Amino acid sequence: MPGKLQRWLEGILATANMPTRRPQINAHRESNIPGLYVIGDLAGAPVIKLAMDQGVEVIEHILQKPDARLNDPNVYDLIVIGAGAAGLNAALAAQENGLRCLVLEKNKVANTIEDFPEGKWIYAEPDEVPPKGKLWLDGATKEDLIERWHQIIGDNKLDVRAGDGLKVIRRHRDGRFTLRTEQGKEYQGRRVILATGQRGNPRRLGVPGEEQERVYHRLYSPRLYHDERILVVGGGNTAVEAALTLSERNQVTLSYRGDQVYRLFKDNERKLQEAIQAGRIQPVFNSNVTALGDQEATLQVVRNGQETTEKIPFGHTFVLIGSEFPADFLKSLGLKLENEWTGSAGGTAALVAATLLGLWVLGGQSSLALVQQVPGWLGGLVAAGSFAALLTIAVRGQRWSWLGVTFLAFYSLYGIKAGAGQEFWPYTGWAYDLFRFADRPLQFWYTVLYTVVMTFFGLQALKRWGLDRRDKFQIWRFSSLIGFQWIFFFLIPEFLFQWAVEYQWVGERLAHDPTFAEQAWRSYGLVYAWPLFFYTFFYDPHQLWVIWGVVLAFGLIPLLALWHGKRYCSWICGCGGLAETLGDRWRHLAPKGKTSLRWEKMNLLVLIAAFVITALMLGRNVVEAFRNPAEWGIYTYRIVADIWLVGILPLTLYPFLGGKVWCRYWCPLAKMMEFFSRAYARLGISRYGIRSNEKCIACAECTRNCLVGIDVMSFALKQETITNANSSCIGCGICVSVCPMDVLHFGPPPPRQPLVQIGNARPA
Amino acid sequence: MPLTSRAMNKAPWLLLPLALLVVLPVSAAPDAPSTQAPDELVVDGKTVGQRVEARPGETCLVCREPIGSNDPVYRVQGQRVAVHSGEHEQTLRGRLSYWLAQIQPRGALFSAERSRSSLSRFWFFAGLYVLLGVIFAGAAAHLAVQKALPPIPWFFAGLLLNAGGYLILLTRAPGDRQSFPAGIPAGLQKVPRTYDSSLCPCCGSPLHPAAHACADCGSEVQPSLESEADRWRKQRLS
Repeated sequence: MPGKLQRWLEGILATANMPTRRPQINAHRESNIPGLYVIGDLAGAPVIKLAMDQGVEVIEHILQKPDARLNDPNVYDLIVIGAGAAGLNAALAAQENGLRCLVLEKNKVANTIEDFPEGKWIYAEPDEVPPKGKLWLDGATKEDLIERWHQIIGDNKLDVRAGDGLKVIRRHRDGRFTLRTEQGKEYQGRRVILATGQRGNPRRLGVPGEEQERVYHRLYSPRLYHDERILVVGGGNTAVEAALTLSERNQVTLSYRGDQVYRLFKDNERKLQEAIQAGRIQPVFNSNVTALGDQEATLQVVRNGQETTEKIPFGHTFVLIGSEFPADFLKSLGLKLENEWTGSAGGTAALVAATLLGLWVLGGQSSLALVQQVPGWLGGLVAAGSFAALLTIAVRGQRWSWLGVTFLAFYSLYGIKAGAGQEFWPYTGWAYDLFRFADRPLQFWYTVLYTVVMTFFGLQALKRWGLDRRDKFQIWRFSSLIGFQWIFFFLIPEFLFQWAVEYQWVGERLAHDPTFAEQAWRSYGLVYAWPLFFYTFFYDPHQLWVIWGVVLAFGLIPLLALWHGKRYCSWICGCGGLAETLGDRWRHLAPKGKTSLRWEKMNLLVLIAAFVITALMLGRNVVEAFRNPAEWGIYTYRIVADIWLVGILPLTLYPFLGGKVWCRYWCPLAKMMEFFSRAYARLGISRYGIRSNEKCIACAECTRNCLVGIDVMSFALKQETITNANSSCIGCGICVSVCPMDVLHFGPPPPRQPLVQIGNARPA
Repeated sequence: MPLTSRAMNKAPWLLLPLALLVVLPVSAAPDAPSTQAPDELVVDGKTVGQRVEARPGETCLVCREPIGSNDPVYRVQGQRVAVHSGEHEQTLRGRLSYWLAQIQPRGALFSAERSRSSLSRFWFFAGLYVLLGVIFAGAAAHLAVQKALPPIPWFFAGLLLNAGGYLILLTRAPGDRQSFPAGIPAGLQKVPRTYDSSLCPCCGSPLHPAAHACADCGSEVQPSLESEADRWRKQRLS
């Protein structure tokens, strides 16, 4: 049972992995094994030119090492695994800089490109960025490109040994690597670069008959097939393009497991529909191939909810269902993958519990006689020892222990912040006052910490997305987030409001009205709108705050949503600001997929709760029956939403599910803005959207970096505008920035097509 | 159906603001002048609240039961604190901050714990320094961008040294305008990095501007851009 629970939790916490899985690497692309680097497709280079850039950059990093050149005839300075764009460019750069270098290739030089269909045009995007290194790249057919690469290898006398793949890597204590190939040869190297790519391993169905000669996993020359019955399996662009090409001279059946195709280029979608209507392609959706016989394939098909078995005759079958991420191969080399869960949930829970129990004893506030008899120092010792053990295991790489560490940190921070005498166990009655110093309470120091953290990590993010990419949109955005935090969420509530009262800048009447003057915390409501600033309308607000709260929540926020959708979350809000700054380094871990989209309904529940409790609180002095539910509701909301959901849980989960946990799943204001923005989009008056042109290459960088888990790529492929009617987009613009092809841009949704053709005119 | 009716049908909860405007004045009405001589709530010898007139329906903060006509209501840190006189009032005085926390925000985001008296002279100047620091940090970062100097270090110079940091920056010579940040274009647009596609005159498929043939229909097209492949072929032939 505990094992099942752990696996279930790990499944949830690793939900970002599947579409864009990668090995763990640092900023220099060094893996968890020192001296072993990962570049190219495996390291997330979305296009050939950027893969080539990575090859040169990693060599520039290696050259800075004092032991870059060994001068040992038995040990290569560098061994590159994979003779693709990244690997070859790295090897050329290394050789040019005097490193003794060897390239091992399992198949052929540029194998992935070799597998493209005949005459395939290779793009050299981004055009305006010149390629780094000696390898040549420009827009050309694949044949031209490969011919040129072979010439460069020959001209530079690069030692490329093709047809022999890597089998085992062993790292010695002195830092040397021994590599054994599939043919049994051994090579020694000081450093290794893994540039194998991940598209060279076509995914297989794993059904009987797949090994037949008439079953292929690539389409090289469509002109070789005519007047045949052909089965194409798959629903991606590769499968559909193959089906379309083959259907010109053959009878094609397209089998796909889904009920419709989602990630097709708009053009492919149109052509597929035309081919289906013309009878050139017979689609079989909701189907799974279970066997491939001599003459026919067996498919399990769900039609109208009924599962049936169908036989499809075929002469040739093309299984084009994507490529297999080489997870087993990478793990066999000792590489760790992103968000891979290791360690024990039970052990972590035990150490966390021991730490908290120790702190309970240390605090000395227990009413239990047994606990009172244990000396406080012993409790402190147990707490320190347990936490040290947890941290040590975490530093060694166990992910569960990291979860324990982050949970302890944020449970303590927000559990103590719950209030004097109201702290969470085991801090009750003693911990809050520990953090009151220099005549300022914990709330003040918390705000200082929050602002400092947001500034530090915000500037890092500003550099990463704004300065380094020369993206002025991102420079403004991060400046806005940092500026709002400093001015509206720190200086005004902590200083300026009190000066305004002290020096009567707000007028003598307000300055002497305790309802206004002594509730400085309400100045957070200048920018934070109800229901995020939940206490706007109760606890004796001054009428000014009530009026402003209504204007902000139900006037300005809906107006903002008309032009900017949910950009409040990514430009203004402090909660969203922390997610965008501190959480930026984990943005790629934001859960993706349909399940995670369903989780987003949780913030609807929080919004409903906020509405109901607010109504009860406002009516409790008028309707006596409201009093108890209101008291219970506000207490529950404070603990559940205002401490656990906004504080402890999301901050704990930042390094595992990305920064937008509260904002995406639980924030009621985000949901309210989404409602407004969605209504505008459906009415056709929204001015907010992200539009796409036709240049998407399906690299998935946009999807990977979306902090709210939107499958941006599927919108881009279909050139469908992203709005809040079809997504929970917050307008951060990272997908726009990260796209190497300039596919995405902000712009209002295009006008809707008329539903009814007026008159007798027909479209051209 | 008219637009407004459709909007209302889809979102009847939009009427809530109107409801709030009606209901709120009831609960947020200013204190009526007390008919009795105001008492004070004194804790540890300090006056922490003034007595105000009770409103109908107010409940004791300690037991949550309605208060009587003679029970006091105090205003403490801007909050109305109703309490049964006697034992409950003693309980309140004994642990005021705990009980006050019941009617104040005490969450992860917002906490009420400030009053005018807590702002000492030291903190006044500290706040002023930080405020000026933020202003000069922003100004210094902006000026650094104009002078093609790295903005982040100058942001911190402005934040920590205030006007001093800004003045130092004024004396610095401009940096290399070829590198960032001089290269940022005007407006909120990313630097364009890719060429626009051209369209095949036969089938309308999008093509790379350097393509010689349509990848879709195979027809020959006139490239609008010379690719390096072409340049390389020319070099080889020559």
